[in-house]
Amino acid sequence: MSEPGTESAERIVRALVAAKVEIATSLPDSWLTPLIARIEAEPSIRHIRVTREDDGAGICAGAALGGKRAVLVCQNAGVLLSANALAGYAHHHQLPFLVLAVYRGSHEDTFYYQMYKGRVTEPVLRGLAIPHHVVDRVGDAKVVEDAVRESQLARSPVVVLLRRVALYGEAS
Amino acid sequence: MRRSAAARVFAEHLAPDDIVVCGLGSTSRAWREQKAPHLTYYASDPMGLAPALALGLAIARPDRRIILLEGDGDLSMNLGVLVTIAGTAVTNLRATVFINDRYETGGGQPLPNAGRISL
Repeated sequence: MSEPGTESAERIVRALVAAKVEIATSLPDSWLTPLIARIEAEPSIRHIRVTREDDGAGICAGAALGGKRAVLVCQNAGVLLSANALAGYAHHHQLPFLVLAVYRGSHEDTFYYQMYKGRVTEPVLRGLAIPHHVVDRVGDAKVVEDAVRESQLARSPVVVLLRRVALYGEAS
Repeated sequence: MRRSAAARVFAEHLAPDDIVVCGLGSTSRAWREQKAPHLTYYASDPMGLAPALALGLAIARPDRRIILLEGDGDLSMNLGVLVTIAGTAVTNLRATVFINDRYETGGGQPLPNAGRISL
């Protein structure tokens, strides 16, 4: 039996590769450990660790400028921190990239300090007019490929919020 | 050295196929005044992210040299990006910082700890 989260990580990374994503930036969350490990092991993706999530957004935007597809992998706190970056690259620069963020702060969580993020993440994204999608089923990696295409067509970052169940399944 | 004179030195000495990523504010004005022929992307806002954008471009285009022209106010907003750049070990990114110890476009106010830091 494989380690928890490795099957979902595999599906997500395959979707990234199928979408021709070649650059990934990341800042970790404990729920992201299998996914970041799989990205690090993927030979077709250059993985860059960042000290702030908006730096990851900036790197993804620069990659888009250079004709490459990129993804920022982070927690939804990173989405909140990157509000100005995401809005700037969506509405000012019009540079596309994907954001894969774990969606902390809901009924799935066990830490009180995560809860505020669950309340404000989607309202903030709606306020920024950044397209976003919530993945709440294990194995649903098609949205990743779709969101990359959407970002290219919309010339905007697109955020995919991954619930824990999407990464670890119902039994976790 | 005055900012515009420094920008002129770059305009005269960069290779023809170098790509310039230019930070916002007075840095961008100094570079724009040179009317240099180099392909240039003005990073503009969001403030503090020009180095990250230049890094992403450098990684995406290893066949080209990327020149980041940056201001000290922009860089001071996010010194952590230097750690990230070092971690990538890119060899085609060059960065220069125009230092005037103040937020020129923001009204001329001094940077925090102005005059007592060394970038």
